[in-house]
Amino acid sequence: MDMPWAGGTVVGFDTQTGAPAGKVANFLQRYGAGFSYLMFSFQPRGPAALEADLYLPAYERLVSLVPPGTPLVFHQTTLNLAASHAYDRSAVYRFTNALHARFGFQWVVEDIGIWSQRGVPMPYPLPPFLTEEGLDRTIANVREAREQLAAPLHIEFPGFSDGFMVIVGELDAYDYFRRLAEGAEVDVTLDVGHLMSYRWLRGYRGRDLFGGLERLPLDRCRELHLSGCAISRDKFLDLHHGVLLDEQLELCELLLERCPRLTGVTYEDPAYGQEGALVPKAQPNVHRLRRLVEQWMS
Amino acid sequence: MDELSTLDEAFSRLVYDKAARERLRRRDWTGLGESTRRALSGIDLDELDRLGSAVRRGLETGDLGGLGVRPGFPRTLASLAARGGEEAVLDGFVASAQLREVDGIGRRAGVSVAEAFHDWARGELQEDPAALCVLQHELAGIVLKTLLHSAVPGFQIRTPLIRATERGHLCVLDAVRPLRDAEDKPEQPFVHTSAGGRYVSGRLSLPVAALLLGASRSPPSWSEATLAGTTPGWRELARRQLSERGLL
Repeated sequence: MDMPWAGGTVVGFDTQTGAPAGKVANFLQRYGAGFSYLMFSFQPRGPAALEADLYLPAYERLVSLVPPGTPLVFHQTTLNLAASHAYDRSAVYRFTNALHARFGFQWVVEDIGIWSQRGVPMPYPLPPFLTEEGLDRTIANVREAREQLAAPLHIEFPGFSDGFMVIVGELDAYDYFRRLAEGAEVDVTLDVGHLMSYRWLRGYRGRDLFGGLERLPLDRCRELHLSGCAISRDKFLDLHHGVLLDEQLELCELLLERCPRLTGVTYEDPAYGQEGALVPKAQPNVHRLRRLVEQWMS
Repeated sequence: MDELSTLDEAFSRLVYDKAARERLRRRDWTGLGESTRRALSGIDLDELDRLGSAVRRGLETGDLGGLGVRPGFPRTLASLAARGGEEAVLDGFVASAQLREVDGIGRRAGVSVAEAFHDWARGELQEDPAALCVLQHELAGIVLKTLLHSAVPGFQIRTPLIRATERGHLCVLDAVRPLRDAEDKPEQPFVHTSAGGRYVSGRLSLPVAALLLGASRSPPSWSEATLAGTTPGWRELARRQLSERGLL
């Protein structure tokens, strides 16, 4: 769940009180017991420092909304693992480790991307530099993060449709990601929409969107992500609007068969109304996803 | 500089500097080596422009990094824009060296967007004392108001004009002219304070300003000298009144 800090009625936390928005609470109270784990994302609390004490009370309130003992996963957004400039992560490690000490995260995950460039956050995470030197630097960054974080680190295949397709370098992103995972010796998260966005960008359509999987580090994949996507005017859009495409479920099914160490499937950023009920448009494919996962689990 | 650093520097310029984007659109590769050219050759220029505009807009509104230029510096932005338009002003700031001092991530590794803008605009307005005075007041206002809600900010405050106190922060400026530095004595003191959950600003007398500054962690030398000219009875009474108002 993306949890930005804003006013009282939108998704996220209330900036002043730290309370999860009412609709978030309603959603978790309605469906929380039906999920195997809860993943929530870090979003900055305005200009506040990265200090755990400033976030812990709000996160505790969020976690209190799911049944006790529900495993937790933390989605970081400040590790900035594809940064090629000097980027001191010590504050990020301290912050994340302090949260882990309290919540015992199953793992911490972040998309491989440029989340900020020389101190300024980007409007969307940009793809990494797809060059040999960029790959080497990112391997070093991920290795350092893996060593410094107390929780296991998973790296996520980046999106190629989120806002700005500013692509630097010529390496194939699937090859880049496999070499990165192997070089840094980490487990990975595959976001089904992100994979499709890259294939779409490279000109593939139809079933070819599902090609090239053998180039990914499938044996290191521990988690799949599915967030709402759409195709419009020949563009693949990773909208995070809760409505899953049929094609995402098809690719998910293929990956369930081909990822031998998979631990979980995350439905990211569900779409629900004020009462916490999934919006009608989202329901059919969320139910299909649930059946797929139940089948895989059995 | 190694190849990756060179590429990263070129990439930064493309994100932050409109002129660099225009050069790339003209296929002007001046100053860029072969490997950097190759890495950048497939970049979608329209997407790059969209990114550059979104970054500028985010810094303007505060959506990227907080403490945005428009909410913080409306009068300064207007006076700078009178020379060549708002977009050019913002493009100038975004491409500036001062922006490189920002940490908008919360690590306290750099200044706020507001302080970076102040430092850049100070250079642009150096021949305009009245505008410089407004600039100082606008910086004090946005930083101290922000500190009300984020008592532990994720950025450094480098300007010595904003001082930490036991209860919050304080900035004493001059109502009609810019202060040269933290030791400059105002003729018409004007205070901005944030303490105890309240932001207060307004004119005050020099002895009262000296009393407030004397309670800060880095008082200017003139405050002690000014207080030496007051009586113990006046100081006690003034302290009590300021304390009752939550200012001390």
